[in-house]
Amino acid sequence: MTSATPIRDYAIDQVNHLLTRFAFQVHRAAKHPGPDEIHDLRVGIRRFSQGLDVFVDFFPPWEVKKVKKRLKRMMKVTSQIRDRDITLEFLADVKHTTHRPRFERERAAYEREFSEMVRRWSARDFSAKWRTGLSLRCV
Amino acid sequence: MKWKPTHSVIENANTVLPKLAEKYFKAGRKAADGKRSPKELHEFRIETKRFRYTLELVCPVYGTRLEKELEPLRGLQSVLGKLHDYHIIAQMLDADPALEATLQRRTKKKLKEFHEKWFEFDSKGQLKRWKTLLAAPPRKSSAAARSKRRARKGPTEAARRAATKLATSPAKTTPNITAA
Repeated sequence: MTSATPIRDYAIDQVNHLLTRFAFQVHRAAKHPGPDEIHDLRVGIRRFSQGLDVFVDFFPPWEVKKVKKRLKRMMKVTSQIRDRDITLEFLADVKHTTHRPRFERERAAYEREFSEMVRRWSARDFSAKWRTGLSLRCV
Repeated sequence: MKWKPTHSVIENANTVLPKLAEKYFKAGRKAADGKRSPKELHEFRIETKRFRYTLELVCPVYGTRLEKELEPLRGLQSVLGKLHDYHIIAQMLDADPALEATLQRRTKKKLKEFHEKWFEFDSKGQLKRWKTLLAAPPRKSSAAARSKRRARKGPTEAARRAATKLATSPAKTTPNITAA
């Protein structure tokens, strides 16, 4: 891709790349949903989502809407995990132990919800489906 | 963002991105006026992320000069992220005065850091510099630029001397191979 590339080809290439990276982060977080993996996954969601927002003109609007709705759902579950992670990190920093068990319990519950979501997504081969829906194969 | 499908990526970026920079600076000035709630600062944090991710999408066409400019944005995003984290933690640990005091102290420190970083980012002439950078066509690679300069100047003195020497020296011929 050069600066002279038509904007449509460039958009498709960039979004394709972002989807590949996002799918990688999903599988990584599914294997080990630790704080870093969840954080990286959320960054991946935001980047991919921003790619779709910026280049929305070049993709089928209905598909973009569908994908963004799914992304929002994953963002919601992972934000619950992330909130507990930052709280647990803060409690460890100030050496406070009283509230820890509650947040650990809550985190484990949201982690199960996340794992179930990823299992359903993977069973449907979400990245291949989205790629087809967004017509990303043409590059 | 309104793209022109018939134009190249750089032609589009040169038109769209300076306006985006202007919008971002406007939002930043509002966020840094000292009257904003944690929610409003969080909204500006999201705006910073969007601005940065959009610029990163076009980084390959602008090259290293844009990459270097993204560093202060990362710094701003990091401070705003910490501020948001403290706000979330305070909500999670509702009604614990000892922890709340620690959080308030840390929030105050980060808020000061945010203002310092923003005023450095938005110092005199910065918006103009950003707009100029984003409206500029990409530079040619240094090797290509060097060869173009050389072609414009004509041959260098050393090259001229070498050419003269070559012209005056007897022509090299392939050795005769005499038949045995």
